Amino acid sequence: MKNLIRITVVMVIFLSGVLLVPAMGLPTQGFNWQRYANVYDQASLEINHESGAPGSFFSISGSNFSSKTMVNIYANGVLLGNLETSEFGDLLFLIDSTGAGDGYYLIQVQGTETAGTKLLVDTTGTLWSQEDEGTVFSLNAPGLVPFELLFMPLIEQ
Amino acid sequence: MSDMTDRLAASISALLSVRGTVPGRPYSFSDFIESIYSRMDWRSLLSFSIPFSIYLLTIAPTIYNLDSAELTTAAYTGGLVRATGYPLYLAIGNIWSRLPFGDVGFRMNLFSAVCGALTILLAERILRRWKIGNLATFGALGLLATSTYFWGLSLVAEVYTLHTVLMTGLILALLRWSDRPEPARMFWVSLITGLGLSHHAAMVLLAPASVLFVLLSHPRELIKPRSIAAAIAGIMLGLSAYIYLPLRYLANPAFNYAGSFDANLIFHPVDLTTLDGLIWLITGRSFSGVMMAYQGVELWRETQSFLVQLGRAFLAAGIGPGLFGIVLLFRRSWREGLMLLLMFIFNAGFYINYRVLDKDTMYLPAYLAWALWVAIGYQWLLDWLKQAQSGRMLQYAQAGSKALIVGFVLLALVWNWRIVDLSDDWTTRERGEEILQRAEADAVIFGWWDNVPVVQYLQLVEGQRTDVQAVNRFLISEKDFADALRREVTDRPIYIDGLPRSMSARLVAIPAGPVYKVIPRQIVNEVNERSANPVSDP
Repeated sequence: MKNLIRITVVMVIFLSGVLLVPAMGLPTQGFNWQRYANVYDQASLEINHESGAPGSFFSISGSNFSSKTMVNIYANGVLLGNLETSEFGDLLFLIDSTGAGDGYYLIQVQGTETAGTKLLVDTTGTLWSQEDEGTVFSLNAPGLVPFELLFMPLIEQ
Repeated sequence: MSDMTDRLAASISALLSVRGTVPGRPYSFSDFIESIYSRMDWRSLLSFSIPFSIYLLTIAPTIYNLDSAELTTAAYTGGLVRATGYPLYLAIGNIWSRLPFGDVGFRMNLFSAVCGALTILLAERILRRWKIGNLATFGALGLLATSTYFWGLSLVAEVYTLHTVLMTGLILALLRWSDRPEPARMFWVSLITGLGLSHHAAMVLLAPASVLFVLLSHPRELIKPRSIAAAIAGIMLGLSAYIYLPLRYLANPAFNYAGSFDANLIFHPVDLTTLDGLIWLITGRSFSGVMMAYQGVELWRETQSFLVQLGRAFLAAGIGPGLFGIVLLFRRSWREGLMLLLMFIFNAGFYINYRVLDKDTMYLPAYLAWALWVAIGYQWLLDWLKQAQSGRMLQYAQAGSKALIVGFVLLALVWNWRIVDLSDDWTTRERGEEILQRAEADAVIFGWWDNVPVVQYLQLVEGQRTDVQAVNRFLISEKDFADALRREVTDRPIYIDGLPRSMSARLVAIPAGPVYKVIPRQIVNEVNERSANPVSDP
């Protein structure tokens, strides 16, 4: 019996850390320079057209995000989906405004870093066709309501 | 011929004071081999050679990026790096980088590998003093040597493995002094402290533990004039490596990161012959804003992140034995236990609260302390099982424990190999060469750490494209950078790794390999007006 207790105590100490593996995980990345590339500038988004008629496609490119990380894409606070940044912290996605109501849409990318840009859907505007290849997110999403007016400080944030 | 070899063996043995194995029989070559074999310290030999072999198989074959490129270029060219100066590393690197094999980048990577393996060797010497057996030593140091960051930072030119060499050397010197507090041993303690301070400012984080250990162990020794003299002599000798900085400043090195560029792209070095200049560099004042940077919830999150990092470093298996080892070392010697615990707490605590992106790389001293605790934990567990009454189940448990200790190391080796292996990583060289190939004559390249130091390495070490000027944006203020960009763009070809948004109204960046060529927006507009194929504005 004493031996059994002793063996149990030893094995518990040996294996106690292993029980934490599901919580902490095992190493997935080591030291490589690509992880720290492009981290010196603020993450930012660029959009090809600031406004367009419903049905337009907008290309949004991001840079200076953490490399190879999943980021969430939001429009006016509604989650549209997610995608992974490139090895160099870049990303490119498209916004399909088919069926979207007129108004402003604040597009935010949230990962380790956060960046935002805006676009205006306006029935009197130009209809832009798709100019790039990439993941397409639709503005015609449940619960997504356009803003009628955006205050500049909010946009900058 | 056989006589000759035997005579030669006898002569060498006489020189080495090695005796024949059989009295009265002539000393033979096989006796010589046998005597060398029996005198060989296999444990030490393997402690160095096993990790070193693993590092050699996975080492980066050429220049690596970020700090590696900066450190390598500065070491080889006798240049200067940013705070905190790293004079010991640069001075040793200046000699080491003349080794006659591989390119300069590989040679400095090799220096990290040697320091990594040397750390394991010195840690083995510490564990030997604590009477830790072969298996527990192998298990604990095997986990350290194959942990992702310790292994990874032994494969590229970096300052961290030299720091861990000095840390293990300091612990060893303190333990030796504690056993026999002689002035000569105090000299070694203070010499290593001085060398450590000449290498990395983080040596300061080991000072409270070291001083307390000395005070608690033999306080009366500290008031003896000979001990005081030995301590002062040792630390002064160690700190003398700092002379390297003003000496190199006076040589006006081509590679200098201790200073800044003005708007005319003229470099103004900080005068390292003055006390102010030297203090500015070695205290890392330019990084003071990121020290003690977290509070409250953020600090707790960073602490959690460190604990996860620590657990992963030891493949989770080292957590239980490590925690157990902390208690056991206190029971064995509370002074030594306190010393190691304070070294761990000060190192981990400082870097947890340090707001930089690459702080994962800075926890090696904490990992080293943890590995020593794991070894103590392992040894106790093995001894405890051995002391139990005999029985079949116990035999299985003993064999199982040993298999687990070895198995965890092998698992770490296999698991982490694919993560850290850089043996086929030429990306930095390829990136730098592509930037230079695409650059037009007399161009200026503005960029951060992932572009500029490697370009400078290719220029200053290998003589490529010396017509190009590379400017690290770390060394120029935002305002001067904006002014320089506006002015130079009309005079010289300009390349940049990312155009600031504030400039996008006037300038356009067009992809040119890993960087962008900057041209005035006005030119793009004119071309677009005249052409049916407009230039796109990325």
